[in-house]
Amino acid sequence: MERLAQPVEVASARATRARFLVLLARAALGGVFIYMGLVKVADPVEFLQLLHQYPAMSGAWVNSVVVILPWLETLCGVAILLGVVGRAAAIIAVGMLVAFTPLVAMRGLEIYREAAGTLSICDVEFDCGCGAGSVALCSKMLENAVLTSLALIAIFARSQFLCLQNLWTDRTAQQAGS
Amino acid sequence: MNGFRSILVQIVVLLVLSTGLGLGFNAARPDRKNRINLGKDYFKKVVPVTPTAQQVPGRPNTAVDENGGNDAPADSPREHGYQTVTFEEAFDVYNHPKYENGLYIFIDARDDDHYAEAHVPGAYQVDHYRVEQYLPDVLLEAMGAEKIVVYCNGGDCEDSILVCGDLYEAGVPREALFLYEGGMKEWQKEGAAVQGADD
Repeated sequence: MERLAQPVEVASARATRARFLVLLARAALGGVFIYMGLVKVADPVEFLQLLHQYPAMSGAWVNSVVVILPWLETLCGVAILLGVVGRAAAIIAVGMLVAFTPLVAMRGLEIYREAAGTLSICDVEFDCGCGAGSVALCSKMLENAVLTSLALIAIFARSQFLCLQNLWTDRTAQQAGS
Repeated sequence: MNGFRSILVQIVVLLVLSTGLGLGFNAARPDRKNRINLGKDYFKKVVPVTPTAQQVPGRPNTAVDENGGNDAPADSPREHGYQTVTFEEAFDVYNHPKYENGLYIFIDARDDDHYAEAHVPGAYQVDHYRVEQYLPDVLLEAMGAEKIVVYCNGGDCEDSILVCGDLYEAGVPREALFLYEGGMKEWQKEGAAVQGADD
């Protein structure tokens, strides 16, 4: 007679799956942010030129954005990946995505209007300055939606699996106990 | 509430750390060419003063060569205030004997990669975003030139206008500056000679 899985075992399997999914979400989001950030750190002049295509980005203050934002992106990526102040980093990541995605969308629409019917909206391609080079508008919107979802998972997930911050606090608690 | 406050503190720490890293790295970065000048408006367009009193009577505002005729008559200056040249006019400048002896020059307003890939043979390079590194080498030639044709990629590329502004602010007279709006894309499309990394 087959032994049926006990409710506790099923719950445990689900929890393990959830932990690995959250870990995967952190790794993907963290990895993308680290890569995109470092691309911009390496060539801030190109990033500056690309930001100029957005009407909202004009004036000398943009120079500070060019210099600071890539490091914010990289640090948040590292924090999310390692699980150190990961939740705070993911909140900042959502903030950046929410701020820039409409700008990219508006720029894409502008190019679409300028093309005057020669392109479909999803064929509009340009370098938005995100660090991935020239991409199609629809792909970019989808990518940002996925990244935002991953960031929300990182914010709200209860799993702290392989989070360095927890390993550190656990060790500190153990040392205090002994 | 404590959890919320803790997250807020962590956000502030991340922001402060990024600001410090960003500003510090920018100030100390080994590749000076990529250093951003925080106070500079890189996209400020310098519109030159139009010298109405110096116009030759009965002629449009063009440079006059030593034979008394009009050199490649320029279009009316657009909003940017600089004279523009067509491909034919730019090509005439390139083929003129004065190009050989440096009285007519071309300036490529693009970055190293684009310049290395292909440029007008004999063209100097001034990268507006790294102007401190490029302009001093070119300024002497520019000050002695009668005609300076500045180009970038063409289309909606504004770098040539910005370099004209850099040259004008450095003392190069407006009358000597000509913007080739067709840029490298048109130059190559027309089959004109180019010099590149393979040469």
